[in-house]
Amino acid sequence: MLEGRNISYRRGFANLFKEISFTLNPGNMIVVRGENGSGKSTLLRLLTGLIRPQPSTLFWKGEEVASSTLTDYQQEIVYVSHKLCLHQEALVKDQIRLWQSLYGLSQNLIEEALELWEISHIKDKKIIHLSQGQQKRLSLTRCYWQMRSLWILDEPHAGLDQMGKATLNDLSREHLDKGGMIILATHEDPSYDNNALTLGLK
Amino acid sequence: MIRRELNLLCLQRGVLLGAFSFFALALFCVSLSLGSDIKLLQRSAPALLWILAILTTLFSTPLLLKTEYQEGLLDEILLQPSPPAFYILSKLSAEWLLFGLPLGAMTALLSPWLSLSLGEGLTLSTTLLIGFPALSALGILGGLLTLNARGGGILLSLLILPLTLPLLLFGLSVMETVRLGLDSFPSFCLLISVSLLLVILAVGAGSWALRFAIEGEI
Repeated sequence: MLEGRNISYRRGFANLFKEISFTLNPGNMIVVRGENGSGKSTLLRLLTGLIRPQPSTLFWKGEEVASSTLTDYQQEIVYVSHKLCLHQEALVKDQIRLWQSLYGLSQNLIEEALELWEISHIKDKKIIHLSQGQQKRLSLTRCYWQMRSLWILDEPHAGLDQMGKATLNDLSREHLDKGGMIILATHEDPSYDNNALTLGLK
Repeated sequence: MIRRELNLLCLQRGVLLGAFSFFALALFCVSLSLGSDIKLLQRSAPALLWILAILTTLFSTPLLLKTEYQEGLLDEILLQPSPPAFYILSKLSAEWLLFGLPLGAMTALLSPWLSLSLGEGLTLSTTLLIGFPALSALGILGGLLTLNARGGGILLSLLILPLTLPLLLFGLSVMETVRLGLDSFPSFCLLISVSLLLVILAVGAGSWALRFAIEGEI
């Protein structure tokens, strides 16, 4: 489980957000809401440890996420930001090969994920030539093949069509049923989890 | 990790080709503009080649990083269990193989333009190959330092160009000893040690720069 205690973040002299606390238990999700520019993405980056959290603010399974435990914690999360983390110049199959060599995965797993997202027919295309929604789908496949317990998704619905949103919701529900955790920044209404904790940023 | 970097460089071959053609064309222009004075050409050739190599490396390496950064790929690197220094080192080795080796080969092949003998050309390209890891490490460091900066190019030349001076001087001293027919072994050793020192410095500083660049990102 993930626990945040009084997380604050200042940029320059202005507080972006202040004293945010939450507890996320297995099988639950957190929905982060807020206007544009209210610091949703920054909060998520802080939760991934890409921005170092302040001492004794972030706890994973009861242990503080400090510099010694940060890498272990990061091996438990999938982070999909609004930057898609794809090599624009690459073919989709090259991208798959790069993922394989970076994460040491079997190719079957990734292909399975592509099929789930209904994009296995685009493997011979260049990523830069794909549509926004297809790129988003490709980027979101990593939720499936990374097989980690905590998903941190930054506006995953943006750019997806109805089918894509449905796929995402199905996969999320499945993940939660298996005892996974999700932190989501979104403007949509994720109807599939009524226990979702909402964090409002001003 | 090295495999990933090699694949990545193959994908970004446009930048590499651009760098190579810049190197060749600039060399051609220089050899034309210096005229037919063979003595002058021979005297200035090593320095010219070195300076061109430095410029080519320093200004194309950050380009490679910039695209990686804009697509969010550096986040992925920082979320990996291996430390960022490891990433920089593998980038370095990939660049040495795909960028340094061809550059060295081009130096040896094109040195007749500056009326160097083949032997001298080969020595020159050896010194370049020894110095290249340090050059690309400094290029990576510069690229990482200027990721968030506007007008990074000028900043880059101010920050990093002075750091390449020791390499340039020691590389040229090797060429001088060879030209005078002296024992060039000590100066080779000096060049290697300077190159190693710069690599260590740049990799250390680079991993900090990477963290700062990612933390400062919006």
